[in-house]
Amino acid sequence: MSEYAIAIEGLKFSYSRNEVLKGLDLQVPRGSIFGFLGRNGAGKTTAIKLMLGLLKPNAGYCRIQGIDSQKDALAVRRIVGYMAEDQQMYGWMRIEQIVKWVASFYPGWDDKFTNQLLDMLELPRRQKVKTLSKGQNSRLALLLALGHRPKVVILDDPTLGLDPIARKDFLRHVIDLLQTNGVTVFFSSHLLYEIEPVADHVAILDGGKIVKQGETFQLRESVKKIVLLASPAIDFSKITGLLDVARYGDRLALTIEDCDASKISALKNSSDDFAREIRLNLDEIFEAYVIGNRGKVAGV
Amino acid sequence: MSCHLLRLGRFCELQGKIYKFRLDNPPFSVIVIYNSITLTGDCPIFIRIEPSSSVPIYRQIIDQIKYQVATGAIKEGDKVPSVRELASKLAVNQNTILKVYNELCRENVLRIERGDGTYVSSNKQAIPVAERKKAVAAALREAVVQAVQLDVSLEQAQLLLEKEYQAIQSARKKTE
Amino acid sequence: MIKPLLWKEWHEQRWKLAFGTFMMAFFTGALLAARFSSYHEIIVAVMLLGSLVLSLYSAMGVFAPEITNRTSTFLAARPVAPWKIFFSKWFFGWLNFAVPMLICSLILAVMVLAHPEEELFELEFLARVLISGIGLGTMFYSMTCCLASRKSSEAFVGFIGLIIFVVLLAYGLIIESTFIDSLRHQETVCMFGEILSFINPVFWIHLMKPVSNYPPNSVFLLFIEQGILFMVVILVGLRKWQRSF
Repeated sequence: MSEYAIAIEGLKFSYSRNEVLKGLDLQVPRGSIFGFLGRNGAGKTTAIKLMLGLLKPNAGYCRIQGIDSQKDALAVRRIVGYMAEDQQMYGWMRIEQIVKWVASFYPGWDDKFTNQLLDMLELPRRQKVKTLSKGQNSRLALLLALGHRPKVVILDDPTLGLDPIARKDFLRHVIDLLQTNGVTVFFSSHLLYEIEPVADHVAILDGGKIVKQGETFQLRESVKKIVLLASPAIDFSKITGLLDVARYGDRLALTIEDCDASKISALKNSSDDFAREIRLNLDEIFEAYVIGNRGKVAGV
Repeated sequence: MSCHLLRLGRFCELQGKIYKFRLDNPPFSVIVIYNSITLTGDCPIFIRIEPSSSVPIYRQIIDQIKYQVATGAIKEGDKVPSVRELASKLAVNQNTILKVYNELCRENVLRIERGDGTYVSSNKQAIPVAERKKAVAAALREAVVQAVQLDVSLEQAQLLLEKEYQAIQSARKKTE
Repeated sequence: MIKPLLWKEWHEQRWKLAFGTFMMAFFTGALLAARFSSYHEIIVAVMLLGSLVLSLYSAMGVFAPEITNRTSTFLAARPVAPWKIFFSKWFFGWLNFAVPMLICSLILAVMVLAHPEEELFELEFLARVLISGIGLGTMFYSMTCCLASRKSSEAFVGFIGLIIFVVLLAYGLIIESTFIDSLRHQETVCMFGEILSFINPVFWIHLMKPVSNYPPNSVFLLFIEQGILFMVVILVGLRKWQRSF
């Protein structure tokens, strides 16, 4: 499994009696920027904590660069750069102190690179962490995650609470610093319009499982909305990959995955030869996977 | 003291202040000190990405580059930004930009010089007429479907088509 | 890799340490100056204050603040074994009450050595009281911070500490009253009674009595049982704390 930077299989986890992850399967190709999408509370942060060995799963395994997260959690953390959601760091430390402190845990820390980053990210060395703005806080957290030159970087909702300019700058830094050097970036967020330009693969987490995983542009190309005239000849159970059905007067809007020409012509045939294809944006595709009714609508 | 703007070529602008005084040996009377330099990039490609659009991002970029080549905003022989530069400028995944450039090369809008960069290619390179017409027909088909649905007659559509042609031709003339 | 952890804990806890030392010294000085009662009683009172109140206050601030600040994830995500983090925190919390007690004892010892003719109290007595105080304090501190290692509210940890104290005290009183009588009657019951009682940290107080008053195996038993209890408490605490990430 070492062709994948991160490989997860059958991961299950419950908080007390609440089953959060019900069998997660995920493969993150090396060198990709991978977007991990899901609603708030879907279990994204839990999955990430399991990847780092901070939590113990009930079943399944997770391997990063071939190293098992449970068996050798420390080795995983040494090669992974991690940025927590809304990362809180020690406010009393100055930036140079916290950098030195974090550096002492990593044998492979690159001081020269870190100094360059401090300048590039415009972080004042002598300032105390508690006085930093949100944008500076995020940039510091990113710096601390990159200082030891990891091959895999895990970012948990890194742009939370940032203003639009800071967000774009952050993503730009990810592309410049990480993609250029072949680092695998695993990036969870629920701001889909932001993930789309940056991620080349995405996975959607819902109901404790991955409901869809694949290349971003392929997802965009293959999931389409077809609008047609409602007709009794349409059999929903025969349409494979039906994500959602909505009715608008005498029209039906079907959201279908893996929508190719044959499916469209089949639908045309059963609906008086009228079918209009509509392309969807990532928000709409996400909605279809997460809250789509899968064709089970009464009175249609 | 006044401000002075110096343009070097199409892509470089220097801004500075003029100081007037007199020196006898050697005889000077004006010195301009330039204190800011603006590089407008290899090539002034203007690309605006609409994030929530239903048009995929790579398609938006392809269309906009093609539009700029068509209107003459970027000319044959101009160098376009490298994959890394454009990815950084737009905050878009490098693989997406690579895909864009590959597609544009295939359609002969750009050409890649190994080790040198990517340039706008001359339209005179051979794409068979039939293929070019097919591409235009496909684009027109979508427009016609829209027109029919929105109840725009053939005559009205023809007028609109002429207007669009004229607009682009005049834009081209302006930049020549 | 424990050095940076110790450095961080030191930086965060040093003012608490200073505060504890000052308070202990202040109370000792105040009680001595007021001449409330005999020197022996004052010393015992001050050491009990240190080993119960100061250790509770110390335990409250060991794990809870890091969880409240949400920096515990940041810390735990470093490639360092969790037991090292746990130990560095436990150690500085321990120093927070042990060092003030030690410094107080040193001041008192200096007092005695400076005035040998006044015969205030014996140094041996001071040493016994100090050891039993630190023993009791260590156990009480460890039980409180370990059993409440997942809690984020300092006050809640304090309440748990109080409950633990009440339970231990009640247990101790029951044991005392049950077996004090048996002590006079049979040797074997006495032995059994000792085993049962020395699991209770409150019985460190017995060490305050002069050495000649100890039954033969009691000190040995006390240390063994308390040692086992300590190990158990620490392991439980470590496990609980690891689940708070």
